[in-house]
Amino acid sequence: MQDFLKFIAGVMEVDPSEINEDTAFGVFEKWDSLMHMKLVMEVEEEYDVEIPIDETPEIKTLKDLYRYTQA
Amino acid sequence: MKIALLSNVTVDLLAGMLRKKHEVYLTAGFDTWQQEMMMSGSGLDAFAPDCVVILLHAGACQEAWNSVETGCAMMDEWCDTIRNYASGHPGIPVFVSSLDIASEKCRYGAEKQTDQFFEHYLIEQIGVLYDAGNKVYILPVKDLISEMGRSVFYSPKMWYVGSMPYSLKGMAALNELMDRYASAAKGTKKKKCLAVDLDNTLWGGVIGEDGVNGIVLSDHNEGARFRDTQRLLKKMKDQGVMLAILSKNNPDDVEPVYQHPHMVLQHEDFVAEVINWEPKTVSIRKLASDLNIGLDAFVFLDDNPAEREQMKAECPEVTVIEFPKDTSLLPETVAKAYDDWFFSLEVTGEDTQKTAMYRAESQRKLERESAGSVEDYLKRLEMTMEIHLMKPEEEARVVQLVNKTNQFNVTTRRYSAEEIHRLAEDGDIITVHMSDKYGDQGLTAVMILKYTNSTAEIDTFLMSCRVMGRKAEEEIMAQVKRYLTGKGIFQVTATYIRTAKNAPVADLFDRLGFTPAFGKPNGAEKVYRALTRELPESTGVFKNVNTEGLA
Repeated sequence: MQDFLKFIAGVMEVDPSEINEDTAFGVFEKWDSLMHMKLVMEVEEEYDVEIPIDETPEIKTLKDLYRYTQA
Repeated sequence: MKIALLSNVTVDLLAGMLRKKHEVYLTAGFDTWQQEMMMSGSGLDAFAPDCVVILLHAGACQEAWNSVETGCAMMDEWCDTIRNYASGHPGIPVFVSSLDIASEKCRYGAEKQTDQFFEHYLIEQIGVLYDAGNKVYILPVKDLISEMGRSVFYSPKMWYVGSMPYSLKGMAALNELMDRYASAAKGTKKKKCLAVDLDNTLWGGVIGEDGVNGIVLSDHNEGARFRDTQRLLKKMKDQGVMLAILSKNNPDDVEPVYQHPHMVLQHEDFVAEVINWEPKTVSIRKLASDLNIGLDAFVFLDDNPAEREQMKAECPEVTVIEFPKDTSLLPETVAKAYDDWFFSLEVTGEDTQKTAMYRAESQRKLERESAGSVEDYLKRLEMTMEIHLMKPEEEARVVQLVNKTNQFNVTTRRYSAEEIHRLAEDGDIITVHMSDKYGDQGLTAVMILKYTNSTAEIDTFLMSCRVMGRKAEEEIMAQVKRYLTGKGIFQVTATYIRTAKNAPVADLFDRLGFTPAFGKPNGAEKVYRALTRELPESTGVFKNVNTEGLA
């Protein structure tokens, strides 16, 4: 999880201390809908996983996103 | 740079990447690029971009490609918009992406296919705009896609979720391409000289051992990779890249190679041929001083890893190309080096002639060594000068000189094409052409003058280093004196701003009759003043000075 958060912090261009697994879409200022798509793409590429289009709106927190990396 | 990124799809993420190096403008609404370009007083105008990129995704207007009529009508409309904008903003380059049209799948075998026709149509229409004098260029996005493949370049998910057609890899490639074109718009060629090895670089094998009949160089099979590499190098030379040989060899062993039927490069393609047994790090320093360019203007191509390592260690300013292990990739490696270090938008007459000019310079050197005095030498050169106000066709060269001249440059102020355009309207831009019995040096000096009442200010005064030491600056100032006197200007001010590279002009204004007025205590900036009548008289070393355009 720590490595994942570090990776996400890099994508969001924030300090890793600013985010945790409960950081939420629409609540955390940096995580707007544009960032949402960027996160999906970056995670797909970094972890070589597929996040189906129907499921992208279901990702509400970093914990939800993290789940895909554990497939 | 200030880049306006216009598109018919969402490019916010792409803009985010581009913003790491540039200031980027995006239109407010979705697919409003045409409105923005047509409306005066739009956000686009207020942003005042250095260049405009129009990135068009063909998939966003899929229906239009169903018939030739609708497809062409849409592109004609695009081109009208672009033409109007370009002619209204002559200094701002516009880059239009080439299209990648993937017409709808489920095509039966005999179904007519028009994708390539449309793609070509846009390229042709943009070419027509360019030929009509507009600074409109194709941004070769289609080439990028062909190399990467659509399945890598695009992301269907991002397209359906957010109207963003590109994948991360696609965006990274687009970002690099746009950065390269935008940087080229500034007129700065990053490097000047490509120094190349011979054995196993321009041909396969060792000429000293294998002889001219034993080397690998041919128009087919294995030898063709070296022939193709040479062809690329020749193309670069024709665009103004200086090629120099840096080889450990016996010159007598090398000479017969020029008779080889597939030797593309000939003596006249090289500005210098350094063939000896000296360390290359010593030779390249000597070459730099002979060519009057910095070590940081060199790119080095050599198959020998030991040579490359030594170059990196002892001349870290030189850019060393990673030589491919598999030399079937050599042409591609050279092409990549061109993109990275030598790419430019325009090729001027000076660029085409550059190698010939440098070769003539070597002959001048011999003449100088045999002449009695400097004056004697200069007169023997039979120099001519033509001085006039900047003509429209000289603008590209002026922008290039303003942005790359480091040594003979009193203020080192860099201007975009747009700014040069404005400066010429508000004041005067004076251009100087020189030639002598050995050749034409082309447009070699630029002076930008601004006026306030009856005082002229020298905003910029620069000269190409290849005509330094010829009293050209004195002659130019004498002609400017005559011009300003005629205009009723009785006073001239000038500024010297010190940089790491412009020491050659540190005392220029002192030499030209100016008096230091004030400056910063450490000498980093000095302001000078002179009465027009205090400026120098014509030097008398020029055989002919044509001043028709500066009456």
